[in-house]
Amino acid sequence: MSGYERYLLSDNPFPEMAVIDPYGEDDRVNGCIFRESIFEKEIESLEAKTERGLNLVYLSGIEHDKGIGKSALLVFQWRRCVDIPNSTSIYIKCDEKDKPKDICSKIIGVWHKEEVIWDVFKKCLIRYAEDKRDPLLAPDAVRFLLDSQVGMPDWLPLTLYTQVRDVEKLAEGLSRYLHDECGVDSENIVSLLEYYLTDPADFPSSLNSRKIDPINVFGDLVKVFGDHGYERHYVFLDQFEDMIVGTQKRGIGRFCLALKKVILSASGMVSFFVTLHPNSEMLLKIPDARDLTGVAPLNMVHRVDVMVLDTRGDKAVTLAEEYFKHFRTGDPPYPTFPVEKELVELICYLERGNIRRFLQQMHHCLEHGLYSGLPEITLEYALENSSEVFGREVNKRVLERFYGLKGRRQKSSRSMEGLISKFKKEME
Amino acid sequence: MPIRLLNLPVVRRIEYLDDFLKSIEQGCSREEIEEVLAERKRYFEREKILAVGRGNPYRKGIERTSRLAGHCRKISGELGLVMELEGELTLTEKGEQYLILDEYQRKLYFCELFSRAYPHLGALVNSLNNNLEKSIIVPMKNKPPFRPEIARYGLEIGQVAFDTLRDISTGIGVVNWFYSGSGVNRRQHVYLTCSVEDGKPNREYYRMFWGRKYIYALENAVDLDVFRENLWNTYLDLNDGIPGSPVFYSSLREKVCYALRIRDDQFDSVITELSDWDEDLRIAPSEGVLPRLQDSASMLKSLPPKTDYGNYIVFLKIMRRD
Repeated sequence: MSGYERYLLSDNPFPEMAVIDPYGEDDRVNGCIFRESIFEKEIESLEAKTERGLNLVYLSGIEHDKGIGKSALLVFQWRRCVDIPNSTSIYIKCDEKDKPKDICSKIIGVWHKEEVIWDVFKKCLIRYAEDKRDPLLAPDAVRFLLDSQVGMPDWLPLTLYTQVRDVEKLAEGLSRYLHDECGVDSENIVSLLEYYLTDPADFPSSLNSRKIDPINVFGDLVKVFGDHGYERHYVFLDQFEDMIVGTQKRGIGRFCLALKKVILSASGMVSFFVTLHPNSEMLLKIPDARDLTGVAPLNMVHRVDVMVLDTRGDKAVTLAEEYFKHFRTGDPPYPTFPVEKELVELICYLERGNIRRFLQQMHHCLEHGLYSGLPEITLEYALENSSEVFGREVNKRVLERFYGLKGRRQKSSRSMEGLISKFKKEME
Repeated sequence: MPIRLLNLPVVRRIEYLDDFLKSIEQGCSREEIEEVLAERKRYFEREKILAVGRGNPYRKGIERTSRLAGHCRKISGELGLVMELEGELTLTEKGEQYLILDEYQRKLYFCELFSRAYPHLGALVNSLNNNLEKSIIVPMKNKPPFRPEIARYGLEIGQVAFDTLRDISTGIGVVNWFYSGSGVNRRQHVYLTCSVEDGKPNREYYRMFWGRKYIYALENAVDLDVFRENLWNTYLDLNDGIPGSPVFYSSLREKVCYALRIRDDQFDSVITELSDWDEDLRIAPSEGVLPRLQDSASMLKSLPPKTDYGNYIVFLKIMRRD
């Protein structure tokens, strides 16, 4: 019993810490609760860019915050792309120390974990056995071997099913075959093949080897995938801005060059979606970053801007309703019960439309209501107890601005002088 | 013949004078006054550093302000705000009146007193007003030599005195300025932010003594639609026509203020109001860090507004509503 039953809720619908974790089980932060109408335009734009197959799409936000807005949007689109046939869709949370080759390692790691590589490997090995007609590697035996595995095995009993004794030689032969068939550099994938022919589960550790350049492996895997049923790939890099800001200014040139190599190596087959904030965007505007912005300019073709919620609160109410709906256990007297609609709007206004802070404040507000035994949390109560509900005082000036804003639905006849004197008055 | 203007006490901000007078009012000793001024200097440094979003202040340990205190003493004496009584400084009636006024009224009062004590303000405003562009473009840091350049505008004044006058006039609110170029091509552009009239206007005005009479200056007012349009077009100019792309607040302000001939604080207040909500534009202020090449703290002439979380706005992103 969480206590929220009295509000016809199974739990507090809002996250205490609104930081997206798409793999988590908590629906409050895994991006499952998402009202499309909040980001109608952004989704439309993102969808169009996805269909167009752009090499790189920037999701540009504001402030330093890891805005749950753009992350949630990114996660939403990632999940949509998962359903696209003959493709892969990958979500990766970047670290400030990551470099482009680390990102490639992570992508390959996901393909490995999700058994995409295994799936393609099986197809390649069977085709190779069929084309090669080597008695040591009879196609039927290979098919039988692979069919006998439920999912990707930790260890592949190749020698139990085939006459192959020299796995290294087989890996080399297979890599040369893929070179001829798909145009890959056999050196880039021979190591991967060796692992997949023996101990597939150990493959990820090999990506840390200095002998392997993950960028080259990534590019060649995309080529092989393309010939074996996976024609498109969507890679969603959350907190990409951390990577940019984590790179020293003099290292931006090298960083962007490596990123360009990644993009070009998978040109026409991979679309990257990355998050940015103004600081990182500015770093990408310097001449040193031209290698990247040359292949993916920061223009309207490649960018989707994610702004804060309108401070009038209309969209915030819609968003709050979605969260309430997800945790609702009965029929409420009004959709945002137990938080009065006007209070939801005020919270959005006080948090300047920042979704993350709005959600956290809603969490706090409900929690306060519960522990104070309130039947519902009204605007009047919140204003009388603002330090407990909002964690700060809400003065008359702020309220006047809020009410003024709510009343301003139509084109107003404001003047610049009026705005300045209003501002000055409020500052007094 | 250029108008010859002598050196001014080097008090570049009205806040220093305010602090000095308040200290006198409270009967502070010379050392205490210097400490108050040092604290004010440190405050400016700290805030500027915060405004550019970077770490350590360039200038550490601002302690010695005896020269500034001396200049404050000189200017406040010449403005008639203090007098010496039995070897001790004390506020005059004017000085007491000055401190009672609110910030805006204080500027108006200071403007009048300053223009009576020194011809500089009237001369500068007059020179700007007689100029077709209502602006002066002169070197910074005396490179190339300053005097021949300023003489073209009918003024004979040294670089230090001019820069002090420029800052004081900016503080009062009758001019604004920005700089462009680098090295020997670095120039300051000083322009009027008010219209000058001979007769008494029927709204609030600055009154300046010049040429044995008063002249009146009315702050430039701009239609909100004109402001929006200029803001939007300048914003697009700064970011290659890409809506939503961030621009540096200070860069945008500098250009819009110059185009509309308004003060920084006029721009700040309108932006603050419009970012709350506007029917045409969605304005999103954002925190961040200015790269060193963009703005040094020392060149940030006025601090941008702060976000609700107490951090200075560094970027603006603007989009049009549908």
